[in-house]
Amino acid sequence: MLKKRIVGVITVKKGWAVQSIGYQRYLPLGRPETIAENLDRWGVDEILIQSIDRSTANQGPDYDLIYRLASRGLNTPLVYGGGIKTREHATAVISKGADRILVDASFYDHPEEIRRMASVLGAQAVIASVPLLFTNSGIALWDYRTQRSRGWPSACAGLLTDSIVSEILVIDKSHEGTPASFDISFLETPFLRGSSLIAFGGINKPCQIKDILDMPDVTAVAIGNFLNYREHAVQELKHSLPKGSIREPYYELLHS
Amino acid sequence: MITVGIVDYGAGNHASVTHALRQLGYKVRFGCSADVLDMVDVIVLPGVGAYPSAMEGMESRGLVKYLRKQAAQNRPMLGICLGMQLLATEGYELGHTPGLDIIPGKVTPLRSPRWHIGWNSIEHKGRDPLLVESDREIFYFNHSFIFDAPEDYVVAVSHHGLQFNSIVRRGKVAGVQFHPEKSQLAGNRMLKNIIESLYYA
Amino acid sequence: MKYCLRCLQPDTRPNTVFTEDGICPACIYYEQSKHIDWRERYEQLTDLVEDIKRPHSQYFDCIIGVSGGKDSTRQALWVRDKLGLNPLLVSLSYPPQQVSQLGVNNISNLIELGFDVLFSGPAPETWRRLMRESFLRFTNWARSTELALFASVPQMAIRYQIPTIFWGENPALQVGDTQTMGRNGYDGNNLRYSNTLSSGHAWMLEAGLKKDELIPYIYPSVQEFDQSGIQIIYLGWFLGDWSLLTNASYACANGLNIRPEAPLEQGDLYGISNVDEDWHNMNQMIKYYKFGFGKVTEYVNEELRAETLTRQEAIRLVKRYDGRCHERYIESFCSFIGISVDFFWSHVLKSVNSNLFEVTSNGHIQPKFDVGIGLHL
Repeated sequence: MLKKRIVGVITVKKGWAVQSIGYQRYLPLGRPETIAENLDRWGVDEILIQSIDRSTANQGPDYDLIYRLASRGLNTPLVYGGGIKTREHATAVISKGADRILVDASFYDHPEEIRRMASVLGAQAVIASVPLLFTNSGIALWDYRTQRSRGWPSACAGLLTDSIVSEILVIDKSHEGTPASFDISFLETPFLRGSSLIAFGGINKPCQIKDILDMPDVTAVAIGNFLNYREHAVQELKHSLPKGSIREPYYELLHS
Repeated sequence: MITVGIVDYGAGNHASVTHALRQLGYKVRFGCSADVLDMVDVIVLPGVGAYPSAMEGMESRGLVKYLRKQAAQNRPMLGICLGMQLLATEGYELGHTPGLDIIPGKVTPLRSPRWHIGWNSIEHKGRDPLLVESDREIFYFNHSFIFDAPEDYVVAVSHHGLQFNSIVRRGKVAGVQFHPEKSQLAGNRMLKNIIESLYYA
Repeated sequence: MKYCLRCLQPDTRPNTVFTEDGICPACIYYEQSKHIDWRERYEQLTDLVEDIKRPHSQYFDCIIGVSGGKDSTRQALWVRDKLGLNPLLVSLSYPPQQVSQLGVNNISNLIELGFDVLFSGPAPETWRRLMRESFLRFTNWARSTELALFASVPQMAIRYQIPTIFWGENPALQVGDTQTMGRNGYDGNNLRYSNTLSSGHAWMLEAGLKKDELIPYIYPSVQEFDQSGIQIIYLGWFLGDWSLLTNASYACANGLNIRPEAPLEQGDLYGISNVDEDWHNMNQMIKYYKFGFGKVTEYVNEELRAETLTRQEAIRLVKRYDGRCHERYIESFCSFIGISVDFFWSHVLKSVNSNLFEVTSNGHIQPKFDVGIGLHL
C-alpha cells in the first residue's frame, strides 16, 4: 500500500538555507547541503528545496545549488522549486539531479509551458505550488511577486483536470513559521478538489499531522522550520504518529 | 571487488546511484562506449524521462545494439525505473517505440491513478531466493508507466489501484521499477542483493 | 600591590606594566585618546569599508560575533546603520541551563531590529564537561567557553567565506595586553596571542575529550586565516567613546534589557554586563580573589578617568561591591557542573592570592589591602 509522506522543506534565499521568523522575515541557518544531509540521514520521505528569490529576481533555476546537493549523493528523493519557467529549465533541473520539480509563477503565467514540461518529464515529476490565504471573499491565491491575493485562473483548473501536474503543494501563507497553525480548511478548497495535496505552512504537531494525513486527498505533509535545530526530528515525529499510514522511522546504522 | 558500469546515455543524473554503489564497496565507471562497458562486471541502466527520447539517446550512441549483444552474452545487467522499462520489447509512451527487447513485455501507461509516486511495498513472487530478504520492504517509486511481462519473469509486484510489476528478471538481467538509490537503507540493501545475485548467478 | 595613581587598577593584573610615574596602561591610553582626531579615524574607517565591498556572489559584507549584550548590539547597529554594511551576526548559544531569559530576549531584540543572526550551538554535554574541567584545573570555568566564543567567529567567517570580522575593543591598547598588538591599532589578527587563545587545548585532550569533540574550541590557524584572507578589525579603535556606560546607553536605547539585581548580588554596579548568563559575574568574584579587583573596579575606573566620580567615592563603591556574588549563583553553577558548594569553596580557596587575602579560621576571606592604597603594612 502506498504510504503517505513526510517531506522536509529547505528554504533557500541568496544561497543560504533560511528559516522563517514571523511574517516575511528569514534568518540564516547555514548551508542547504548540510541540512539536506541531515534530512537524508534522519529518513525523511522526500526533500523539497525551495529557492524563494529566483522568480522575483528574474533568475532561472539555481543549477549550482541542485548540482551541489546532488553531488552529496543523497539517498532520498529530491524536489526542487525556484525559477523554473520553461521546459528547458525543467529538464535541466532533472538532469542536474532533482527527481521532481515544483513550479510556482509559471504555473499561473505560462500554463502551456507546464504542459510541455509534463509531456517530457511525466506528470509524476511536476508539483504545483499553491499558496492560499483567506480574504473577505473567501479563499484566494497569494501572488508572491505582486504581494497581492488573486482569484484562481481557469487555465490552472484545466491543468488539474487534464492531470498535467501530479500533486499540489497547498501553502498556508500566513501561518508559515508559526507552530501548529495550519488551517486545515485550505485542504477542502473547491478548486483543488480531486487533486493530490501536500500540506505546508505551520505544521509541527503530531495530532495536526495525523488529522491532515487522514484526509483522503492528502498524500504528504511538508515541514520546514520545525525540523531545524533538533536532532532526529523526523524520527521523533514519526514515532508519535499512528502506525500504518507513513513509513516507519528510520535510523541509519553508523557502523554497518 | 565488483565493478559496476553506469550507462551514460544522456538521461539523468547519476550521483545518487554512484554514491550508493560506492558506499556498498563497488567500483563505479561511467560510459556509453564498449571500451568502458566491456571492462565492468555489472552494467546498470538508470533512467529518467520519456521512453522515446531515451531510446533515441541510446540508438545515437550505438547502445541498442551493444546492450542486446551483452544480454545475449549473459552479462549481468540491472535497469532502474525507466532503465527497467527500456529492457522491454516495446513502449507505448507518446506513441509506439521499440525497446531493447531483452526481457519480453510491453510498457504501458498507468490509468487510474495516472502515476505512482512515493513509498510503497513490494511483494515477492517467490521466484528469486536471493531477493526474498526484501519481501514487503518499502521503496520509492516515481513513474507513470508500468512493465507488463509474462509471469515467468516477474520477481515482485506492488499495488496501487492495480497490481503491477516492481521487479522483473530474465537470467542475468533484472529490472526494478522503484529507485533503490533513493530508498535509503532498504534501497542500499536491495542494490547489494541484486548486484551480487546477478553477478554470482 | 600598587594602585594606579589615577584610577583604582592594581598592578596585580597579568601582563600589565605601569609607567614609572605609577600610571596604568588604560589610563595612559585614555589620556592619549583625548588628542586623537576621531574624525580622521572615522574617515580611515570609511576608506577601509570601501575596500570591503563584498564580491558579487556574496550577500553579507562582514561578520560580527554577538552575545546580544551592550557591546555587540552597539557594534551591529553601527556597522549596519552608520557604515551601511550588511553584517551577518553570529551568536554562540549557551546550553539551556546556562542562558538567561534576558540573554534570549536580547538576541530576539537583534532579530527584531532586522539583523540576520546565525546560531551555532556546541554540543551541550561537551560544553558542560569542559566548563567543569576548566574550573577544576584553572579555577576559571570560562577558559573553555571563551575559546569557543572567540573561535566561533573566524570559523564562521572561513566556512562561509566572509573575510571581514568586526570585533570590539583592542585589548592591547585598552587594557595593555601587548602581546596581541597587530600591525596598527585596528588590526586584530594577533588576537590569537592573548592569554586565553594561546593557551592551547592539550588539557582538553588530557581530560579525555576527543579531537573531533573539540572543533568548536579551536581557533583557526594562521594558515586558515591567510587562505581565506580573514581580517579582524577592532571597531573600538574608531569609536571615540567606547566604554561600558556609553555602549550600554546606545544599546538600551535600542531595546537592550539589563539586569534588575542589586550590586551586592552580582558585583555589578549597573547591571549592564554579562547579562546573557549568570555565572560570568560569579567568575568575577573568583578573579577578585586571585588579583584583588573585580567588575566594579572596571566601572569606577572608567568614571574616574572621565572625572565623573571622586577617588573617595570610587573607593567606597569598590570596597562595598567589588567581588560580591549572591550564593544562589554559586549554587546553580555547582549544580550544573556537578560539585557541592563546599567543594567549590575549598577549591576556590586554593586559588585565593595569599599575598592579598587572608583566610580566617571560619573560612572568611579578608583583604590584606586597602583599596586605592595598597597592602596593609
